[in-house]
Amino acid sequence: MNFDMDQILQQTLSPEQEPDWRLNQKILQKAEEAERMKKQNHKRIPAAALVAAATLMFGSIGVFAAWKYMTPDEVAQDMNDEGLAAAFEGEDAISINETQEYGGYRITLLGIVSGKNLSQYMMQDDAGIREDRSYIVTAIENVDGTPRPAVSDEAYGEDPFCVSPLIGGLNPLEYNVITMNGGYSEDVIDGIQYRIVECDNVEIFADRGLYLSVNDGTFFENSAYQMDPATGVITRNEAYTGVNALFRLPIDASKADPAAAEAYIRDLWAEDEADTQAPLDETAPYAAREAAINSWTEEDFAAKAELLESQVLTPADGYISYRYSIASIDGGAEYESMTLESLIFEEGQTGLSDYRSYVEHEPDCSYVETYTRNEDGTVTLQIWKCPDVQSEPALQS
Amino acid sequence: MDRAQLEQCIEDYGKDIYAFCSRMAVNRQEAEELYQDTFLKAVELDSKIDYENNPKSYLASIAMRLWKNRKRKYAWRQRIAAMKQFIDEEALKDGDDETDVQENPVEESWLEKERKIQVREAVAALDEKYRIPVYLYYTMQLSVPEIARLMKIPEGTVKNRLYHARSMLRPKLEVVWNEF
Repeated sequence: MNFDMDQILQQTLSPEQEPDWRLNQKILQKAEEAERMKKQNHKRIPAAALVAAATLMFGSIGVFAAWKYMTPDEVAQDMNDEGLAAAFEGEDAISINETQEYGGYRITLLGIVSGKNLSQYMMQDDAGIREDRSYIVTAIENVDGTPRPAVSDEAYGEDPFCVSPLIGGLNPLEYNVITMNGGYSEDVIDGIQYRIVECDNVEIFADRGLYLSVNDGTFFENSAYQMDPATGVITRNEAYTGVNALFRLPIDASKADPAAAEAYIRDLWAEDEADTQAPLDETAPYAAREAAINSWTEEDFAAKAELLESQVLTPADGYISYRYSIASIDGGAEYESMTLESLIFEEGQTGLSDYRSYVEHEPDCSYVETYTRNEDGTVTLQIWKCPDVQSEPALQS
Repeated sequence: MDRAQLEQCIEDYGKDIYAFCSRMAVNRQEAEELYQDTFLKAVELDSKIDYENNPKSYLASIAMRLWKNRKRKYAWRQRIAAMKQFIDEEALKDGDDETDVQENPVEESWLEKERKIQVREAVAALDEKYRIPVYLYYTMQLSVPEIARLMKIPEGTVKNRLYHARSMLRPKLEVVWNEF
């Protein structure tokens, strides 16, 4: 078989799998929920009656001697993170060992530690290294005693969980593990699923009350929890039918830093606002120039522009393929394209097409491709260097 | 957009968008979340959707912007290893339901999947600047002008990036082709 890179890329990268129907159902469901919420925009549901006491009725909560679990530092060791293991052995680490059971799962919060540069695997992103982080270790096991699937098993990930810190008084949908630049590492040891969740340091919010939610599903499930808008207290939604464990993170309120917390809230959303802006339109400043060149005839090009390259191409399977270089751009820029003929020409059309492809714009000139269909069916591709002509009228033909 | 319209949108473009999200993501969770949020964002921005004028390209632009916005939030530990594993899983799932009519179906299928893994890893290793146009072109099957409009860069820049992407991939792919 011949090596045809275009064909290989086409075959390898083209879509093959349909998305899971459950995922599509979830989108439809969430869209409907969003629509409902939009309609109920100002209606407040009194959550005061649904306070935490109710959790005792449906799930069982207890503080167990967690002797059978690995300790947080052992979990970090298992994940080859010596730095984090040492941090979990340090004075600032908090051991918790609280267990809750929901939906056939026994979920145990083992410990938390926060601080700067604790892990050997620091997260780096557009904002630089995220050095000030919180790390929380949980263990999940099946209540019926069957082992959780190993990471290498096919069944691994079939019943996913989302483990997330939450902050009292802040909308959980807006402040959760995903939005707070989180991530996790996970391993299954002796049938117990251990996870180290990390995100930006939440200790600065300690005076507001901190929580750890564990819900079934891949994403944070907002319907599994509720926050009392008056008190900021977050509770489980008892009507939620899946797993929705909720732990209080026992972090001393004296570790709070309200000024840093306010700054964090401001910066987090400022970053997002900047990121969700449309990318800068590089072509916008040249719109007037393009409009002028779009109206040019063959005579205009001949009179005003410099012809850099001309190729006669024979279309194949409805496409014209070509490659050329322009020496004056970046010391010799290469261009390659496969363009649908029907994009350029109407059926049966001959002569210069109205379609122009702008290769590059520079302050004083633009590089443009033009296409002329010849009587014999071939296409002449020409590359022009056009001056800055936005105010110049087209020649009369 | 009502439920029926959203369902139609998912029906028409879901497969392409899911493939694009899967190529951009490093694990299934990220891919599924990106895919889900692309459609939810489209619902939110409903008034801006021009159904007559290439909604696929529009959905791709939403997915790309969401991905750029969130990629820092998904900097999962051992990102490269995770991506490699995800590529392997995806490639192994591809074509599972196809009837193989080759003479030696088991070996042929294994070779094809191994090739697919190698090619996808080579593309995934490209710099984002080159990788995104490659996925938009080969996965979403958008034209150069559509990609230029979507990325808000001149068509020539798209051509140039595709050219460079192919130039960087060629030696790796030739090795893959000859090895398997």
